[in-house]
Amino acid sequence: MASHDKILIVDLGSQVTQLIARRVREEGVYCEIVPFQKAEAALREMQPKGVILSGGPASVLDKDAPLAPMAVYQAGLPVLGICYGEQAMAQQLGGKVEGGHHREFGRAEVELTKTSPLTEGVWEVGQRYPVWMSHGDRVTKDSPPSAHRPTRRSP
Amino acid sequence: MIADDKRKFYATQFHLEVVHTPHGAAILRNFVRKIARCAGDWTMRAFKDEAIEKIRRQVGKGKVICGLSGGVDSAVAAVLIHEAIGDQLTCVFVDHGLLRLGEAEKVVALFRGVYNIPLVHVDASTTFLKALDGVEDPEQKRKTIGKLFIDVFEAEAKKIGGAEFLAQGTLYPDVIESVSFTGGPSVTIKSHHNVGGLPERMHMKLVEPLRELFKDEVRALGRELGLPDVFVGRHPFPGPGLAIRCPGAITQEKLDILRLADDVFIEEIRRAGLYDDIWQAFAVLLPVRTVGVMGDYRTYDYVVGLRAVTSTDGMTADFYPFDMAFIGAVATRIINEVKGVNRVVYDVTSKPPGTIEWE
Repeated sequence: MASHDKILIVDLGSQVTQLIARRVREEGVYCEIVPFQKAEAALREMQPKGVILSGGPASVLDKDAPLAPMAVYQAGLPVLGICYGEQAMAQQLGGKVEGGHHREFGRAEVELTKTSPLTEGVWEVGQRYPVWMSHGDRVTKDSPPSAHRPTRRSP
Repeated sequence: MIADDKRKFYATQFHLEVVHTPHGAAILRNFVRKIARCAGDWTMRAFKDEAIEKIRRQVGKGKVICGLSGGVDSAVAAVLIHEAIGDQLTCVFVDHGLLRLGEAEKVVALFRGVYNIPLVHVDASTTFLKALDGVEDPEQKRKTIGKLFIDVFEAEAKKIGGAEFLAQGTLYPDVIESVSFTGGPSVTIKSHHNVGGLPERMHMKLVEPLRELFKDEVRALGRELGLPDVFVGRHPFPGPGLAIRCPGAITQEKLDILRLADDVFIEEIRRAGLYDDIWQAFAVLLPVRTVGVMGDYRTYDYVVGLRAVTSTDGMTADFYPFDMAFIGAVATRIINEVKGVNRVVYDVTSKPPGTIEWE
């Protein structure tokens, strides 16, 4: 597999982490799933071109919450956090995550308010799109200051 | 969604990987192809060539033994290894007599006839039936079959002799280390158990060319290797075979009835063009006899249960909503053609709370 570009998927405990891997491979990109405890070693060995942080059942506000090693953010690689992975990322990079909001499971709608390379060619500004939510906590302060929010939650 | 375009950090509160987010796959594609700039050149054709090289490097001039179960994984592993090292590979097919109608013959014909791969076909059906005589408990059935399978395989491997390597169709989900669901710091490491302890006992090294692949990728690799679609696309089939589709004690008579009924069901599903829409379909022979009337005669025969489910991963499943006329036609054919059956029922339980198999 040495000659191919690779993506490292850091498993933070989600039951659907394997689905991330399958979607990535459907794009002709090889990837491996590694538990967060071994992610730093895998980062060195695999030399991936990008990192994806999975969801997970924990709360980043818990004492022993699983987190990605800081090396993931310091490697100069693109990083994508999904659900719990988003909250872990925000928390680790100096943002703020709050609990105590009502838990949200199932279908929801978001509106794209700003273009972003992530949604380019897929979503159009001003349009609403269905998404699937499954979380308790949410990020209330982004970080770093250069970060922006290209979507807003539709009522 | 949060974006830091400068550092290329992105995060979404919503799940991208599930089908309920319809554009999730396209957004993930943007991340891996455009933002992380991955080439997208990892195809099954590329995998095949690289896997062949890897097998050659690992095995050298050594001999390899591969156990065939009749299933897709071991067959794809065997054909791939044969492409790599030719007749340094010997396959051992332990036929426990619990396969579906014509299945053993098809495997033998495919390997000997089409691929010309050296194959030892062990007909151990009598041994297995004897060991299972009077065994009613499902767990006991599984254990008996599993242990005997290893004994028979080991004896054959010893007869072949001189093999340094044992090939297994281990898949990626068997080896992924997963974070425990409690979110704690422990990591669950799965041990694969296909040939329980055999490599250690016989001092053999494992060859596992599929251990980086998911099931659907193994199917794609099988097609790349020229395995017929009908073979590669087959529904999953449990290791203990028909033994766990005959609740209660197993007899040769019951197995023969079940094989015929199952064959009618699958044939009708294929004819209706539904086979690939269904995750798994099969017949079960119930340990119950009921009264019927055929012509002018009273009958007292077995009940056949039909099961068909849709699923994407086997973890959850819904019963398949056949047209009632279809079920009726299958029932009529089974009762007319399979002696010993006078009643057919359809299982409409989903998983959970039910399981896909009955035992």
